[in-house]
Amino acid sequence: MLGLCLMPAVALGQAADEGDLPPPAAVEADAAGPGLPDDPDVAVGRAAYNAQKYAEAVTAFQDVARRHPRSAGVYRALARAASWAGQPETAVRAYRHYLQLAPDAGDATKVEAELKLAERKLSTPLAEGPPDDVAAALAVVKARAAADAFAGDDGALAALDTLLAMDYVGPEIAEATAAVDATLRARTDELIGRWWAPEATASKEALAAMAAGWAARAKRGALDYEGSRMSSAVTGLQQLAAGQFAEAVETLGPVAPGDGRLRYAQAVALARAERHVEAEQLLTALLRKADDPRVAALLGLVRRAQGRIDHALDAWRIALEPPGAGEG
Amino acid sequence: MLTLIATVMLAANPPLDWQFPGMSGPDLQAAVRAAAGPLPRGHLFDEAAREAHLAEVRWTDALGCLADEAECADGRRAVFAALQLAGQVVAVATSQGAGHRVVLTLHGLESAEPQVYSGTGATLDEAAKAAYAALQGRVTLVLTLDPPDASIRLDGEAFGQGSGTYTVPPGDHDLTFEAPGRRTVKQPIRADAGDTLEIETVLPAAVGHLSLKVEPASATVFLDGAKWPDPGTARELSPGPHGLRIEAEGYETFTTEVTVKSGTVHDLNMKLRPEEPDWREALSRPHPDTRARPWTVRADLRLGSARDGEVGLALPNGGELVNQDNAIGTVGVGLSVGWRGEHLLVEGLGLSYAAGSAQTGATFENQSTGDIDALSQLTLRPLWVGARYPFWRIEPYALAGVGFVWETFDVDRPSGAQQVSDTRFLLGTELGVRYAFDDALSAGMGAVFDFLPGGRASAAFMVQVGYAIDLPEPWK
Repeated sequence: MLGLCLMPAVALGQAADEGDLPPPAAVEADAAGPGLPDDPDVAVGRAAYNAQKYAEAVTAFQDVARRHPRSAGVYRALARAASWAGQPETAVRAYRHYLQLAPDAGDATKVEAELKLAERKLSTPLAEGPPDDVAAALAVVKARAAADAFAGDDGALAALDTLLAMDYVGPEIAEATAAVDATLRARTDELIGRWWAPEATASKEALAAMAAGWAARAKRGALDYEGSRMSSAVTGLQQLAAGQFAEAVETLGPVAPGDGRLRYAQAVALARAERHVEAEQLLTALLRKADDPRVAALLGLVRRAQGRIDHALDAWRIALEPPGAGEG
Repeated sequence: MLTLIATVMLAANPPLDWQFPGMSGPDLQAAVRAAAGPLPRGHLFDEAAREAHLAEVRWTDALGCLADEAECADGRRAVFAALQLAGQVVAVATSQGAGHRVVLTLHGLESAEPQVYSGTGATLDEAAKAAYAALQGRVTLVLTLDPPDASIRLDGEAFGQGSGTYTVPPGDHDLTFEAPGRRTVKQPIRADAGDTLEIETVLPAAVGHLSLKVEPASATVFLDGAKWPDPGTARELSPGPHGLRIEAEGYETFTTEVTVKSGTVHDLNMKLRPEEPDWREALSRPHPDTRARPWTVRADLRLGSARDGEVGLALPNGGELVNQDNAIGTVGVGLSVGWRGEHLLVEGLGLSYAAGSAQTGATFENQSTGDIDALSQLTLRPLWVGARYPFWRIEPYALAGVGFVWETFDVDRPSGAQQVSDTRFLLGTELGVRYAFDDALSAGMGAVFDFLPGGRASAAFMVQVGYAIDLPEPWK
């Protein structure tokens, strides 16, 4: 079994020694591995590679890699372009990224042989992982995200900008970007949870910082649906906390359906905006589904604000019912 | 939480909301309402009270935990705060064996963890009372007393009567149980708020207390036959009679019976009487020898004096001895037989003879004078009666009676000496004292006074010796 595995590598190694690199057409013809992403610069890079303008191809594929850092195929194309362009360090890192992202690809053995060929061209062995400056920048991004610092020059998003501006491409960039997004969402969800939880409060400062983080994130790329929902939710809560009740109603309106917490927050905003009728309608609907007594208590207060004491008492009786009192 | 409740109870604002879910809710509501007393401030036991409170709740811009403006333990506490309640008590009753168990779960405004207070009792009312007391931060006492109607004092103050369920403030207390005819029992207790203490107490039969102050202090006291080393310290005794004996050297032993009354402290002072000397004891009663033999024979020797006085005797040779002008000393003897009873003394027959010789002036007829040279008196006492009072061997006695005296005067007058005699009647008495040497022999002395007609008298001092004879007494 061992012998069977080694035989192709030896043959490829012999071919590499003879400078038998893949022809330019292999960039797009090698169907054994992952393909290239759907990006306009892919065509640019492919054209430059086929025209043996390998430096331009490297630039084009690096641009593609920055936008698609988790695409294995672009690293293989970048690696081969860099090899022909005489950039063995870039080639070695790209080959390693390819094998990291697609370890089970059909051409993995072949690419490993190419990686060894590229490594021979290095004057000194290249350590695993990104360069030190890139690694340091990655650490800064993660640290700031972990500290819930997203917006501003000292935020994780600014650090991510710095990282992206460096002459380095790799899946670590994608991981850092994804980590920032994930942290932003998690913290936002946690903040909404704190706003809803009776035993905790979401401070105005925390809400404002989170809203600013989402704004900064939106500037660096379009938000998906979940990102947009969270951005609006935290912004609406921040407006509610800031006493901007009407704005909060409008901000929360599109994203509240489906989330009882946000619907309740919208009801609070409506009540605070003295739109008691709308608040009562929303709370009445929410009361049918929610089992939190605060809904009934707030409903009673809204009715009391309208002078409907009997209806308020009805709501408060519900609010004061002990858990399980209506069962059995 | 206790602080919270106490605050609520005192300030009565905000109140506690009460909920009585379940089928037994209405009955339990009534029981808790009864346990709370007539004016339970700070408790919304029923819907009317709840509505009255909620009617005062107004819309406010400060929504607190309802709008994430403050922190509350949970959603329920947020509601309590919004509705201006101190919390909520959920009351549930269950059957437990033959009795009931009431569980009050307090959801206080300040604590996320509910506080559970429970009480049990034979009836729902008792269980509710105990649970309510626990909630109020009091201690529940379940007392089982014998006798069941014993009186109860708490820290010295009248508290209640009879077995049952009571509540007291937490802390240290002294319970005192009392009942007529029973011994008072003190029971110190220590309990924390919410505790339930079950106390079974049997009051033993009451006792009395006895203490003695004895004089002399060295006296030894025996109580019911056992030595009592410290009689000055009050001792508990069962009600009823107890034997008491007090002994001391040189004193008469004192024995008595003391009846101890229940619940009574008997403080007695006992002073022993010094023992009587032998002679006093002896003198206190007659010696048996003085009564041993009833018949007596007595002989005496007497020295007397025949006093002067009118004689009035005709002389054989004519003339008359009118008067004895001076006393004449006599010497005589006597002999008598008699009988003696316990105190009665009878001298059946007494005979004495006394004679004296001296030239004593005498007056004769026609106021002539002469001398009396000698006088002899033979006296017969046929039946003298008297009394005696013997103590120890000494016997004072007195006799009195009548008798006859045969007097003979030797007179000397110028016409010549002559002798004249006459028998005269007399009244006499004898006083004396005797000493019984044994049951037969006695000796003594005495004085005899005879009173003759004409104002003459004679007196004699005598010493006597007697002998008692044990002869039958025909009348016995």
